[in-house]
Amino acid sequence: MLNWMRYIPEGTKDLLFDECSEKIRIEELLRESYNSCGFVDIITPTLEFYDVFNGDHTTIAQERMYKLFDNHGRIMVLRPDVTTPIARVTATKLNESAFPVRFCYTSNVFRVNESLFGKANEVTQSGVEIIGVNSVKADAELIITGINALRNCGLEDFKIEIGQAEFFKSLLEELNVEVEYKETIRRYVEEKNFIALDHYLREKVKDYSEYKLRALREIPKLFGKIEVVDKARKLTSNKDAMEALDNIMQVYRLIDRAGLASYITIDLGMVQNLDYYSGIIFRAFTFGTGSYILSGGRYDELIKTFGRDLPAIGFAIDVDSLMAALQSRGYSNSKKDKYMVLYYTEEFANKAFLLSNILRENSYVCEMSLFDTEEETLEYAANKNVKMVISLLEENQIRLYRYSKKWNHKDFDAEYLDKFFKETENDYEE
Amino acid sequence: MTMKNRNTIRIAITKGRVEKNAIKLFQASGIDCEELLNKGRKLIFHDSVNNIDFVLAKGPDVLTFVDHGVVDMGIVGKDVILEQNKNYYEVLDLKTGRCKFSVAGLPDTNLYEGYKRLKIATKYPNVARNFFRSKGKDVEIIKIEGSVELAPILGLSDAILDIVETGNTLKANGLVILEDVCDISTRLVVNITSMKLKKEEILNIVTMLQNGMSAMDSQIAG
Repeated sequence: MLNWMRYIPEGTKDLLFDECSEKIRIEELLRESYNSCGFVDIITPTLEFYDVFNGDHTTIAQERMYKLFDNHGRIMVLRPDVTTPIARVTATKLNESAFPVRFCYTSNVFRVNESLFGKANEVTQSGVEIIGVNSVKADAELIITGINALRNCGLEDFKIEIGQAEFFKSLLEELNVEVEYKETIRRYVEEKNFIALDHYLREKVKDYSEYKLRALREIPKLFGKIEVVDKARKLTSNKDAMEALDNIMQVYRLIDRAGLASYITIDLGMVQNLDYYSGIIFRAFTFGTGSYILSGGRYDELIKTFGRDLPAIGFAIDVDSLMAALQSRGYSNSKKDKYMVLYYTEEFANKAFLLSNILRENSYVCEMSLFDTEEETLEYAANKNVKMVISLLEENQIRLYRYSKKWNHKDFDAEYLDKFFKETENDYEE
Repeated sequence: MTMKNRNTIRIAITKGRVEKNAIKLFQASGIDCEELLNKGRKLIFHDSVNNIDFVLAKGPDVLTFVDHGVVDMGIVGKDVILEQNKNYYEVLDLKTGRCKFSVAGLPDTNLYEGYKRLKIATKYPNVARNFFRSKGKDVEIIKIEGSVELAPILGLSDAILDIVETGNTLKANGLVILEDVCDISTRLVVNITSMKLKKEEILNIVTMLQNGMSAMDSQIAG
């Protein structure tokens, strides 16, 4: 039998060294940004019951979930999403809380993608939810939080596109067409296939009139600058559709007051997951990655399915895509601390540990050498591309080795570290 | 997707039949394809006037490239689109490469009679599964890589689902069309973020192609 012990499953990866530190750094920057806006951390189980994700509200097909059985034969899944478990927590555990509640999380989610498509099956999501309020302020607050979180990571040239689920829903509702055709209409809108949409409407709508259907026919083209909303307003008299457009404008105005309007674009043709989203929908995109780095929206119906009627809005950032976008720009703000390896003999171990603590307090990274000789330590450091080694050979004497083509050294008095620190600040040309 | 080609539009074209028709259409639309006509063994070509890179690839790869955003647009048959489950905008029917998906078999085959679970041989398992599911019919699908027509003749399957252009291959092998599934033609697909980030350039190309299509139509009519 083939043995897989030396391999990892498709769509997963091992993260090491710089790539790993960079990812954690991004996660921390995002979290820091959420926390500073009053979002509190939440961690839900990696394993949940399948039932949590199996309802009318679900946006993830069952074949895309990793399933297993517990010892009672119940179906479990590796969480394919974090918002649904948070809805479960909210409905079942937050009886005493003061609403609105603000949650933030960083969690890995698991989704089975088709094999060999090059898509990750384990993805890190960093996101927030505001639960218990449906208002323009909440919508704007969430989008602003998203913009600031991305900017906090050093990303500037991105756009958040805003749409409104109710705009398309209300246009579709007044349409005189058989229910089974509505899904095809929605799909053409999602694909921005305006030509096929037009043909299909002509064919299937019973009282087709170019004028009456002008909003629906134009939807695939209604994306771009904020003026798109005014353009859409002229195309319909549907009251609910107008309200949806007003909602976008109100949210936009607040974001504008925050000085962030330059990040906003509009796409009224965002019509995916209409059973799930119930108001503002938004996604962020940028150069350097073909997929969205952030997506979110208002989902007022979800928590109800767990037994408590509470409106909510949230977004999730795809940390891996964000990292890819940052890397394609060559950004890496990871601060490179002065790194040194400290070699000591047992005789001066107490001094060595004392010195290592002083170094760390002064924001050096100090790695204690695990080798028995100075020579081995120097060889190890050179291989690892570490440019500084310190050696404690005598009670009060520090020997500082620096690498520049070969190891050179200077000795310092341990009682007077100022000179030593000063020397480490000097950068040698390589 | 490096910084330097932010303004270049990359288009992946399906090699072969689709490619020939696409080049005709591009030329009628005023897009320079000289390099594509004299290609040798190269796989990437450039039109410096409109700042377009062309890439030649197999149909399913065109969709993979568009989905991942390593090219902005793709030209690919609806047959490939229906078989591959990927994300992109499908913005234009180029009306070339017309043919259809059909179910075919030996003349006396009845697909909707009896209790036996039918075996369907095809190169397009997803299309076959979706089609028979829409008919409420549970079938067993057998993936065939080459000449699908062999399957019913050799007795491997009850019928086949395949692309039919002229029907000559079927006829020559004693098979008949039992049912048509859907029409197929060449489509223009666009990466989801490219559509937003390069809106003007992309919609410009779409308009050029639409004009090229009407120019070719009137040529035929005239």
